[in-house]
Amino acid sequence: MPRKSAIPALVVALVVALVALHAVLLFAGFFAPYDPAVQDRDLPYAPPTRVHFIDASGFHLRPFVYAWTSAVQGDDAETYKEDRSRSYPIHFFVSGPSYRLIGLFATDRHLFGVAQPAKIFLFGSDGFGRDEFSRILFGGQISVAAGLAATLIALLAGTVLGIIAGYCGRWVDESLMGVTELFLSLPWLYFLLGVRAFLPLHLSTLRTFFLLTGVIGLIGWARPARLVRGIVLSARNRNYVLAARGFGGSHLYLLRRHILPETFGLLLTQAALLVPRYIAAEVTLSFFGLGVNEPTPSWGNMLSTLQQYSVLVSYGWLLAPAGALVVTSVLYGYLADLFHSRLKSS
Amino acid sequence: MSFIVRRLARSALLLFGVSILCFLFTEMAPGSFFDEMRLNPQISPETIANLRTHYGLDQPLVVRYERWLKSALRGDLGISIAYNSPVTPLLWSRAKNTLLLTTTALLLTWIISVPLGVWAASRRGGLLDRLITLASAFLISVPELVLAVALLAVAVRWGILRTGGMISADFESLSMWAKLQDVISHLVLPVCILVLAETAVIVRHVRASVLETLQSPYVQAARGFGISRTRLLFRHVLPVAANPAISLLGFSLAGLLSGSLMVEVVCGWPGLGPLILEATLSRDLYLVIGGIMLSALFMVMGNLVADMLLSALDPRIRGNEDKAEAEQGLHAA
Amino acid sequence: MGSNLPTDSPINSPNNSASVPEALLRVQGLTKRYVRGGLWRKRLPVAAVSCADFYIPRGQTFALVGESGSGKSTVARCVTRLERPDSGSILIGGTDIAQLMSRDLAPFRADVQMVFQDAVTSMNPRFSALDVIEEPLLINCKAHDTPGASERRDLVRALMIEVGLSAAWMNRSILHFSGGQRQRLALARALALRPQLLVLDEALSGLDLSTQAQIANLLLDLQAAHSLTYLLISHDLALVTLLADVIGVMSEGETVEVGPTRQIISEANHSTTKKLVAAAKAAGSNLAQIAGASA
Repeated sequence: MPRKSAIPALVVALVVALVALHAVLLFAGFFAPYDPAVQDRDLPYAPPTRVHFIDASGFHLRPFVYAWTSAVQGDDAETYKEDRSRSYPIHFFVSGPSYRLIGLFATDRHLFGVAQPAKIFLFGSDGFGRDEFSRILFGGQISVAAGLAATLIALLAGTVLGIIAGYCGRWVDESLMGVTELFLSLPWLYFLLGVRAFLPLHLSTLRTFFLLTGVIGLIGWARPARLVRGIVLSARNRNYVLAARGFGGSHLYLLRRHILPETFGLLLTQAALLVPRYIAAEVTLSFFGLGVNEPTPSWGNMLSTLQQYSVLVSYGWLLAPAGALVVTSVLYGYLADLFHSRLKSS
Repeated sequence: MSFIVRRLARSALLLFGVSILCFLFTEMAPGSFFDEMRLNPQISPETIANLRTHYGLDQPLVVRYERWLKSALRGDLGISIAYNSPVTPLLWSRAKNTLLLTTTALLLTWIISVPLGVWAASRRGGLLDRLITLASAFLISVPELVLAVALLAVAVRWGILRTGGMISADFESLSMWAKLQDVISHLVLPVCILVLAETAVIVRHVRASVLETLQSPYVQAARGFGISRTRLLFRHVLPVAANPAISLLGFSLAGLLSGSLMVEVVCGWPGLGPLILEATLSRDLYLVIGGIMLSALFMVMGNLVADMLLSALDPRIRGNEDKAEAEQGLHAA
Repeated sequence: MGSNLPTDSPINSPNNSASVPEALLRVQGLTKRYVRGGLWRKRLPVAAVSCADFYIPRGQTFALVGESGSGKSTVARCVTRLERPDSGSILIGGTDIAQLMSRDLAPFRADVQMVFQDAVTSMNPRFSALDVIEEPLLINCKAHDTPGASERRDLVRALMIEVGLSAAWMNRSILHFSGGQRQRLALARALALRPQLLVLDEALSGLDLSTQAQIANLLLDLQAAHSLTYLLISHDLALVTLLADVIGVMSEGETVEVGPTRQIISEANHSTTKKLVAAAKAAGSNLAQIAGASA
């Protein structure tokens, strides 16, 4: 007798973490102290700002930072030293650079910030003195949105075509499955590059975004289509579907009431699997310079500066976008595992 | 015998289909292939027009495809503008390096994963098993690009491995043995990245498959006879558990080829990857198409070998393609 | 070929369909072939039914018996138009439904309903009892106006009581019902549209003997209450003798012998019929022997 399963604490934590992640990215403007495009030519490659609670006068409840000053203008790496002459407390809900929340509401409130001329670079700054933390948040918007959108496209196309193949059967099925086999016979990255190759290289950010999601979704429909087709094929021949046909059920009715619900479990699992993969696809393309281009941040093009060994070695904090990507992927991966085990047990 | 012939015919058809797909994609561009060049003031419109005729881009799609197909079947895949030389030898020299990388990674992956998976399954719930499960779950989630960059960072930072390229500057002057050592030392980093990524996937599957076999009735019966653990594992469990694992070979290859592209670019290994990337960025049409076709060829051949291996091991597999595929829904792009 | 009907019946003359007394269902020359294989594989025709001929007067129970593979289930599927026959006619109260398109078929859907062998697979496991029984009401309605939700509940309640189930279980998932109870649900569902002909395709085969007896009695009660006509498909001759008025024997896709139950059992003509009767008698006598021995 199926009973209501208690939702374990770990699952709750997972869902909360995922929701929090997406919320932070959605409201990037609020959580980011700075505009991602603003450069500070005096502070290129600044290391992460250290947050202090204790100074000469003892413990403070409100954390504070010191400003960075260049110590040695070396030919290799800039070295910075904290200027301890003045401390800058971190204020919350400060007013800072104005922006549009979710692109709609103009405001200038930020979660935290420090007074000028100090900068709070939580993850340091890049070669142009832009705040890495802010760029990660805004870059995440693009990368994660691309992953989500591409997943939607791939699953939509895959489901529709899988249903057509599985339901119509015979030559429709065979030809569609032949096409999917074609798509699956190429290693995905080669395929991605190939398709990307024939499309315009330099477009506006918005167009690039749509292009990327379209391309990734375009080659990603094949596997979901095969899986959905398998389910539809077996469901179509079930006796209860036959019985409903015996009552005069139309094809649309049969699909809606009996066949489609069988695919939901699979689609959910596939979604949780594909989102991180497609985020990684966008990141890879942007890393290669085939995706979102400067100055718009994306986790991919932020990581591409690391292709220079000098940068890689000296400025380790620039690996932060990789960390953000890993966190996102691991969370989604855990979700996918969860869905999959629930699907298997039902 | 007819099975092999059928598979060969299918593979040929597949490659044919891929080539058509490639050419269809060239029609996809909302503008023409050389639109970007038009924006560049240094390139004159005459040059662009010449390029177009040179590539036959002013011809209709069918004519272009026919010309390409005819020459491709003779082994000539066109000319590269960037290198100003035929595509085929360019691809081939790079392909050898990619094959070296990929095959090494494939072999090592399976040599490591199978025993590891079997061991983890046989000591289910133990500390090592849990460690392996956790580690593989984590590694699977990490995108391959991140893995590559992270390992590169570690290698560069601590200077423990040779990074960049395939050979050192003084390669030519080395002895035969030293040459081999040199290549191997450069091979270590990219192979490590690939193996790490792929092992996580394979170990999981091997472990699951062995666990499932261990539950099966005939294994329980065998245990009832008092067979030793090792004998049980190797003579009874492994042959059966091997099947679903080996059916992964094809997907494993797909993942490795894609992964190798990334790894080659990041580590500077002179394989197909960086070549195709470069060709894409410089709009080198026939080089891109040639590269894609070659990768498809590798995939198809690899799958063929895997299928033949599989059918040699177990003739039942030939009928069970759909079932194996459902289980693979979790893996591969 | 040829149905072995009693010679003194006016039905024997093939052109005399008009004078057939009250035949609710008349099947003539039914053929159906299945073709295996697709684009790449060889196309193999498998003949399921090569010639089926019989009729069922209103209110009667007709049993179609035969070995597995003789084509019985295919006939059942053609009669309920779950499959379209290749040739032949299926007359329901005078109208040939064999080749009708789905739109024209709609009014006849309510008249002929099927009960499947495996009650478990003939219902969507995610459904509740209410969902299962009201489904035909939602899809098909004679007067083309679907009854409202509360009206449907009342109908379902009445049907459940009629088939011997407690109406309180209406909202339970069908997974909570036993095999026999699910068969009752299937009957309730089949009755929802007030059909005239019920096709029971091995409907009692998957049940244990005591449940079988219960369902058989239920069938008789329902038949009396609603003047139903039954087409019973079965391989169990013993069961058939209990329920059927007329038996038709199928062998390798043809109806080889048709006649009243008593006649078929005692004076079988065709070799297949003799084989089936002998087997049933042997099984029965074994049981009697064991029962007698232990008495």
